[in-house]
Amino acid sequence: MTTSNLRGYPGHLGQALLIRVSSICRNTVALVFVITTCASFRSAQAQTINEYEAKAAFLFNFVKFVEWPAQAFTDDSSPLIIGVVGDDKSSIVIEQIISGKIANGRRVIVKRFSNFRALTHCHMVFVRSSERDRIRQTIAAAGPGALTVGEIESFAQWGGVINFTIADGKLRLEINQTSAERAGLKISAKLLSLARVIRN
Amino acid sequence: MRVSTNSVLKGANRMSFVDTLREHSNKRAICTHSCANDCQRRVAVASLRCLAAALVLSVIVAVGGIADAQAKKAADQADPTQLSLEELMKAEIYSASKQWQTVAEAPSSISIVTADQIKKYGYRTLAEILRSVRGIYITNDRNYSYIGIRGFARPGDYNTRILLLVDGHRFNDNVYDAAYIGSEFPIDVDLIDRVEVIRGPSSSLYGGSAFFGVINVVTKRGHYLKGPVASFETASLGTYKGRISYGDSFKNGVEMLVSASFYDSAGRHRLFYSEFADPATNNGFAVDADYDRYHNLLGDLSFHDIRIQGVYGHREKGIPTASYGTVFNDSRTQTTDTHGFIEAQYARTFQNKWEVTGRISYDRYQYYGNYVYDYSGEGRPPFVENKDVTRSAWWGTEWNAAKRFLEKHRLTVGVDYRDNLQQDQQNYDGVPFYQYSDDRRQSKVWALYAQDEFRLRKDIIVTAGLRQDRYSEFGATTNPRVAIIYTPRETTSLKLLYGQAFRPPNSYELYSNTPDGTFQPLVPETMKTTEIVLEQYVGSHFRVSASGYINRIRDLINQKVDSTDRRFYANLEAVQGEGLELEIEGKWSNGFEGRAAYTLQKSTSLQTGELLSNSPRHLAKMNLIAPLAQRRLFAGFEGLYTSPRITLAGKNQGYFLANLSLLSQRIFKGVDISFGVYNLFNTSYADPAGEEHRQSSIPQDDRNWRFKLSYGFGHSR
Repeated sequence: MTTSNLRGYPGHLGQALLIRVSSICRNTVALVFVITTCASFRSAQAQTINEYEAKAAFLFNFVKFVEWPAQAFTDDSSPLIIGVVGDDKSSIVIEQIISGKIANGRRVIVKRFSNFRALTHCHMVFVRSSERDRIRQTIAAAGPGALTVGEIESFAQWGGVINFTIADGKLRLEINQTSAERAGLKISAKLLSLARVIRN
Repeated sequence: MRVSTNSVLKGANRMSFVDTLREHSNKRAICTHSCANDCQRRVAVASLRCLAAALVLSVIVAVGGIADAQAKKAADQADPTQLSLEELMKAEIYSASKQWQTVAEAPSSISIVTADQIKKYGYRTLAEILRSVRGIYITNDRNYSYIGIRGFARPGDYNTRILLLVDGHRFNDNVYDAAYIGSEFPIDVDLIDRVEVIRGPSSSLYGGSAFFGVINVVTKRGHYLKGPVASFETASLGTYKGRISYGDSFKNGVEMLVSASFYDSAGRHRLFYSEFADPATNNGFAVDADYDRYHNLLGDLSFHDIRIQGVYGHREKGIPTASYGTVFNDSRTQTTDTHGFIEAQYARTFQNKWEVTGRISYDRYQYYGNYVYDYSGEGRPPFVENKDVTRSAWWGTEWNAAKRFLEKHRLTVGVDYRDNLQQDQQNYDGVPFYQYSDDRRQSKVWALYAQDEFRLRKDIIVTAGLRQDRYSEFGATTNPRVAIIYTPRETTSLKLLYGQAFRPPNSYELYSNTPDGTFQPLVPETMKTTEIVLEQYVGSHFRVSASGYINRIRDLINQKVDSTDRRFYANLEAVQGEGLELEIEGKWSNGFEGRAAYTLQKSTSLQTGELLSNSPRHLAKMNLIAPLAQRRLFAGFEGLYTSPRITLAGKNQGYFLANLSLLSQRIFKGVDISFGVYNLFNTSYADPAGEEHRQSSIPQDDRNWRFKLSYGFGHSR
């Protein structure tokens, strides 16, 4: 396509208008040809997605595949609160994508916090990479029963429950089973099967 | 756009004769119009036929696509939470968040306009996108659009002091160094992922042209489209536009996008210019002379580390203003601009952590101006068509490598080379043939640059850069830049910036106005800038930024007219510009967002102490997007205030311009419908004109509208 563009580059701009039109036609036909050819490759296509849209979708899925102890909620209709610590535009993206959605019969609410000092009670706490120097404090501030999720190298080793990593342009999960058990969280076998599980 | 001095002179001499036009000659002129119209109509019919054929074919493709899609599990892209865990694990991710980091830690004041905003505000051209950005104002003379930035927009300057990049590829041409931002900019706004405006001098990274700022237009990649997309627009002033695109990414790592756009606007049927209000010049009415037509093509193919891009655009614009002393009300006076490039890019991060990017590209730009003159001064045909022609071509390559050292340093080094294979300018009369000038040239420029980003403390980053450019025509110039960025809290960043910039005189300024090729003793103009920027997040919804700057320009290249009415360029002035910019942005999770900006600026000539023309003291902007129904209906409102500007003849009035756009997204899957009203309150306003016009101000469009429908076949899966 690109080469045919340049081949069609008019050497003499003052040429007759109708010649120009016929070249539009040629280009159009070429384009449509390319489209048709590509359409046949469609089945081989992979999903591509913005990093934080994907992470938001994962967080939402964690609600479905992790079981909190019953005492974590006041009643069956009370919402599940996800706190995002470390405020930037991507945290807003996450809020926009999941806040207000229903999972496992509960409304999911996203709250954003600039740092661990501002953090209030949440069922799940997503610690953004901006907090890399305050992992311990943030995990401590999240409280004993929270599902802590990070995107920082060795977040799970520091006692976080789930950590995002990136390999080959795809998101990967690390799960610290010990931390999950300590928090009283039951992680489904399906989620565990997709993650690298560590214990400490 | 620009007739060399010969013809301008000629025009100037003949200008007084235009008034003596006789009535019967007008009739003959009208006859030529109708012939021209006939021709246009044939073209219109033929292009419609093409469009129809294309649509039929794309429908066939679409049917195939839908059938194909049924086999696949539906994945609604609008809502990623609908994806299963397995799908999420398989999905390839791309990072858009980086740009925000860049904004906070960049050694400049940056604004970004996203694809989503372009859609919701209903922007139609790059010029309209830029007009919404803090501190930028646009001047239009019904032929080209010109950028004013930091209180600076000189007559006779074709955006030479702004560097325009398309995905990092330099897009200014090599004769005028012009940045094309109106309908002559060949990237369809629908295919823009974001526009980044980097204020202040960036010569230490980008070399010449990066004088007042850099505008980088980032195009959408294939994955954005997820299949074929067709779009159709109709608007006031007999305007139609069509676009068909196809983009996708594939499992084997290939990502591609191809797109074609066609645009045809009849323009205002009758345009009135009081300066020509004489029976001999149709009482000041220019009829059917405001037409605007273009077609654009874009191709983008990437595979792992390699990306190949091709861009082509061809635009014809009628000039209704009788600029350069041409015959008033003759629709044959027009300009045609054609610009295309093909580029291969390579980007890779090696095991040893060096990030290497390289590009090699070939560009061609051609300008063809047809200017109708009445040399006899009798006001009747035969008129002579003067042709102003530029043919240019260049190839270039740029390589840079970056690596983080000792934790605290990030070093970038690069080399840039451009070989101007052709920089030819010609001016001649058609019939009877007479050649006024035929200037053929070649030149080369190469540059070396380095920049170090040093994290002095956890909260202080110092960026220092230096670039040397060597021009085969002027020798070397070296330009530094230093920035200190202090982030006491995550929500606050304070930047102190110092930079130098240069702009070499372009071929047009050097050679176009010299019939015998005599050399104008022009030297590059230079600027020193000091700027302070504060960016602060307030609460979780607001971002406030404030900046103040002082620019000192030396040896400004300016257009002048001497005692014999000869136009020429010379290093004439020293100018000081000062300004203050304030902006507040807000964004809420329900889709509501807005920003308000105010700019106070002053540009003064240090020689005369006078204020510069076309430099408004105040600019105010307000932009709001409001979700009206469940994220399916949005209203985008834009209000722009520009204070009075000095024109060549006096001062024009300030004005407030408002635009309103409604966008309905996904009423049916994949369907976007938008309706925009531009100049909502029917404000009458005018932009200052350059010396080539008899008018001191050019009146702009009154209230007009646009309807747009687009369908993404892939989004319906």
